[in-house]
Amino acid sequence: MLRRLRTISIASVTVVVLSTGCSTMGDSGADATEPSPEAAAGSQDVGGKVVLVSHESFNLPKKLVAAFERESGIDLVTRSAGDAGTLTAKLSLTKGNPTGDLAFGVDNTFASRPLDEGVFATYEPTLPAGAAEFALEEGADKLTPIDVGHVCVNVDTEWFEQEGINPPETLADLVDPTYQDLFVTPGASTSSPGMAFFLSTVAEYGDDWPDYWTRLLDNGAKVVDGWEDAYFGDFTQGGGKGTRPIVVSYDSSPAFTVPKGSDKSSTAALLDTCFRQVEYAGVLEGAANPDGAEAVIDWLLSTEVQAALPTAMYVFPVSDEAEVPADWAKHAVQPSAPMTVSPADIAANREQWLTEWTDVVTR
Amino acid sequence: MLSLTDVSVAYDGVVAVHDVSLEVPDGSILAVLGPSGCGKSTLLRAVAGLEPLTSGGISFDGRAVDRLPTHKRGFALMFQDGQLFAHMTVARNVGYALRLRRRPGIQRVHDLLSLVGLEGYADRLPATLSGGERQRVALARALAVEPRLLLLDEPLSALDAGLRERLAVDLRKILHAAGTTALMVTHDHDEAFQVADQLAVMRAGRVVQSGPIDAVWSAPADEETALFLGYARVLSGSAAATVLAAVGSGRESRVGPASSVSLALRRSALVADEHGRLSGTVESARATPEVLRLVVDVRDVGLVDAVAPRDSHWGPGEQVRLSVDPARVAPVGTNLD
Amino acid sequence: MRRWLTLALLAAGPVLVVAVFFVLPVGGMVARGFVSDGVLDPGGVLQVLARPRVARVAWFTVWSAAAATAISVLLGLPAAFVLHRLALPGRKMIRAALLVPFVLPTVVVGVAFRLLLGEAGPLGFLGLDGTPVAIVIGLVFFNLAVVIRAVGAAWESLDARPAEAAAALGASPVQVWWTVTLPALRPAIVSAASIVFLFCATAFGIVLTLGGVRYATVETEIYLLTTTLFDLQAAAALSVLQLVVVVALLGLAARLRAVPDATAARTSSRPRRIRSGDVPALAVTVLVLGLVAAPIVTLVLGSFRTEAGWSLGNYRALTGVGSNDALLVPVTEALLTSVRTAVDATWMALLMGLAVAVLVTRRSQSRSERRVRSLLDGFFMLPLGVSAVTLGFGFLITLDRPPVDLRDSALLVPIAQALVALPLVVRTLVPVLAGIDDRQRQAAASLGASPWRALLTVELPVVWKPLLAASGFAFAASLGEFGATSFLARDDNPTVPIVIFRLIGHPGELNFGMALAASVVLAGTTAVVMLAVERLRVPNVGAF
Repeated sequence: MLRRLRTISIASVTVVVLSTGCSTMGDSGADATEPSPEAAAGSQDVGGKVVLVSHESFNLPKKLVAAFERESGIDLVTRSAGDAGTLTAKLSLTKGNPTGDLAFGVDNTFASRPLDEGVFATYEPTLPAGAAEFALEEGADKLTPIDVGHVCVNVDTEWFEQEGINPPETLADLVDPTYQDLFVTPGASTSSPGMAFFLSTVAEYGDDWPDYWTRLLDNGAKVVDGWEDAYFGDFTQGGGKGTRPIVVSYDSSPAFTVPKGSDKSSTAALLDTCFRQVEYAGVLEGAANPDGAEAVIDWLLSTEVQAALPTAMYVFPVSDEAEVPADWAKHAVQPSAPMTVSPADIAANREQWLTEWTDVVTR
Repeated sequence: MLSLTDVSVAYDGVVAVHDVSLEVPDGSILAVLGPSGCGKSTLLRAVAGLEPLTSGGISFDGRAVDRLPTHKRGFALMFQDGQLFAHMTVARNVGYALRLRRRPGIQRVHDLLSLVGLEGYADRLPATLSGGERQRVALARALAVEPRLLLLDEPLSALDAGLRERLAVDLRKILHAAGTTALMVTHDHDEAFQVADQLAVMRAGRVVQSGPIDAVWSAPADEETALFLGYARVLSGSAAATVLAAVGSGRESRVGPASSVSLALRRSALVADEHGRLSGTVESARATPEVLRLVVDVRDVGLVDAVAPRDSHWGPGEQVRLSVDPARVAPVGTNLD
Repeated sequence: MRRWLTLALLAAGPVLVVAVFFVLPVGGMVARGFVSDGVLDPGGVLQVLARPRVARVAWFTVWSAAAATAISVLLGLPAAFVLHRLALPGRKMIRAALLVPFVLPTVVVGVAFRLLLGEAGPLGFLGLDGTPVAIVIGLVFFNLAVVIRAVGAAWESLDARPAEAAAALGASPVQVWWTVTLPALRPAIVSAASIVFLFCATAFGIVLTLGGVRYATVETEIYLLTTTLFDLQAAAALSVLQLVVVVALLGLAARLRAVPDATAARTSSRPRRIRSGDVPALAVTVLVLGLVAAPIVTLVLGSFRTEAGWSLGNYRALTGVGSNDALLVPVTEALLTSVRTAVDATWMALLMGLAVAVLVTRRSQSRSERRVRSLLDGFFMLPLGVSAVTLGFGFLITLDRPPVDLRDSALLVPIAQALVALPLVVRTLVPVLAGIDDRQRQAAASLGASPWRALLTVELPVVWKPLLAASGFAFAASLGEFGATSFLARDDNPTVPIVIFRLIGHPGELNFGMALAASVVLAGTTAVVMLAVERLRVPNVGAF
């Protein structure tokens, strides 16, 4: 009897679990486009559903998105997964039959390839003041700059103060024995900031970069998988128990290390070591709703979105009209003359560079 | 010689074997007989070293073995269902203990296989053998290194009746030929009689009677023992006296004062005989291959079993006279130590 | 004829699912690699395999996976003995807890291991950070539970008497182990080892986080080639290499696993008291527990550390979206999504797994039938051995047109997870079903039971507990799945591992703390599910 009761109870639990929406079945159609009242009223030019494909760091405040949807009648759906490399590979593979209408997050290190393959359709919006500076040399008619960030070597200023050592300032300083065993960077082959740092060494040293990297490693540089590992695992200000006070991170990072009750960041970005990363958006060739996609790009360039970028995605706006938050203005300094390598060069040499780099690092 | 002194074994506080003392002289075979759950298997496992003793001691040839781990006791255990190693051939099973001792043994394995009547089975896998064949292999395996004591756990009870009888005879022959000292537990008194020289009857964890097999058989310690040994009925008081009076004078002297004794009767203790001293009414008659089995209501005794020749005819309600076969009755309770 | 029809019907569902959601995508991705500039170019693929780097990567993959497998088995066997055979107090809790690593997101484990082994960590003096040793330890950490469960289950149901017979014949404990116990456990050990090897050889996140960039396995190399170098040809070559190796390994394992008599009598032996001879096994078990507990303890401690000192702040924050809106949805909502997805993945895996298990265990009447059955058996193990990257991209390029334009479907995630869980379910059920004596079915049939009725009377009573246990496994595997999910999940509906990954990727101490707290919640949920499975007291469970 008891046993029977148990069987019954298990069976009923199963039924309940399956039927009370403890399953994805209940809402598999939840995001099927329900035309919003505005769109139905036909009061707007565009409207309909627009799918934005992005990488996993894409993130905008819900309020902004809701306001945009209300005003434009567009139902904005974002699909984001993987890093910039995964995104780019995904776009190239689904060329012609894309999974969305526009893409955000292809950066200058990856831009060349999808452009060559014809992933993007032409769309050239009016750029806000200051944004033109970040446009691509080739492909500016297809990819629109949205945000900019710099990958810079960061130092723990508190640590150096306590130790009574002057912090390093340039890439060349990193191979100085003074800074032996103090530096950690994510790998170029596994991490996008790692790749950016690598490119800054290429920009600085040209074809002699393997020699620089050899000396860097001889000086005890540590190469880890991802930025998270480097910053949280090894960096002294990363909240974990790191032991290395020099790390590859972003120009905005110092804004996040201001101790409570202080107005001075405990870290600083070395502005002479920075590589510029610009992220672009573009309408996808074969999009179901190209008009909607164009409207979304315009929106991404709007002052409200641009101003929200620092807090939401830790990057600087491309628009001069957008104001950056107060703590950013104070603690996150942008380099005036960052290093660059042209997208075409990157595309042409990426494989060879990475192969060589891996050889140097694993030697 | 194996000696058990006041051996007790308990599982989680429940006593399974209680103060058992036994001896198995060299070269003899002791059968521990008892109903299932009486603790006999536990006793065997304790001797093998598979169960720790709660108290008491086990020694072999005067040397205590109860602290030795199983594999150092020099005994061999043969399980009820053989427990052959399924992944080894017959020959490898038999030679197992030889390999453990790094003794060359191809010839020995073949000798053993022919001893148990399984020549030519060397390369077979246990899964392909019949029950009887498996038990023979298990026996050969147990005998391979000439253990100083062989422990047999219901060695034949998994087999069917005909095979069991044949194998029992073989077993006794093989054990005697090898001069092996053996301790066997069984719930089947026939099996015990066919194989063993010594008998210990166990009930509820205690040994209630032990001794040479004939002695135990001819004088069961109590009624329950008698029934367990295969006696069909136990009579007491005047009924016993009546039957006793009908026995020839030779037995009478052993039995003692007639009033105080109980008498165990085998099913064939009373025989239809026109000169018999007892008389009664046939209640039922049933033919078997050898004899006619009767149930008779004997005056002053009650219902008893009796036999008549196979070719005689008896029907319910007929009057019959019965004589007593003195070899098939036994006094109960006179042999208590 | 009828037999073949039944066979085909049973096979149709699972085969179709695996064909559409596995063979098609992987085939599509591989085909891309074989075609360069519109021309079929198998030569180019072969050339890739001749690259010295490929050989190096393949060699590292094989030896690290082999080493991790060997260590998992060596450490797992004594622990399996102690936890399944001895009357150790609290062994059920320990058994459930040991499964926690199995579902922890690799990112989190990476961070925990780095906190532990890093230069400043409590074990930093060992200098293991970033070495292959750390990778192997990490792999062992993840897979010990597989060995302990699979072998422990077999051990638990092992008849003790052959071992006693051997001891009584004069075999010392070591000799008993080698000549009787080990041969009897061999199928379970081989089974567990082959699964662990597959898990290790296709490990992705743990190799990346613990090995840094210095050590590449075939799996990480495929990722690198596909996403960073866009070298689809090389990626295809490696995918094919991986497939070939996996198929060869599965074949070998099937051969080693084969026993003369599958319908071995299974008993459920009572755990026995601990004796002095068990000390070495107990010592290894303590080591195993230490190995598993250390990173978890690090995690738990970290989850209680906030800017304001020790507090529950990180847990309270789980109802929010983190500092600077790191998340689109609160972690609590993600947990709900995780559970719902896992429920779906579980029933899918169970349904398919049951059909497959019934299919491969029915006694075959002819040689060809037997061959078909064993081929099917291997076929459903394949999803274990193929790169999640290849599969993920394959989804994108093959399931993109009606009737199977599923790229946006919410069902894609549970389906992918069900594929990952399927081998676990099959391996749990097959030994149980194979252990049912065919004569029982015949007896039922002779008493007038229809095949369905026979299934209900003979199979169901034996199988329902293992079935529940298998659902526990599938549920846990689904809860922790990261590789395929990260690729397919929509960001408005993330699962907990995805959310954890996102939190770690966003700077801020609160986000880091929340990531740890979310990991602890995920681990706790899993432990509770597994404890429930333990309570079912299924003796034969987990013999995959």
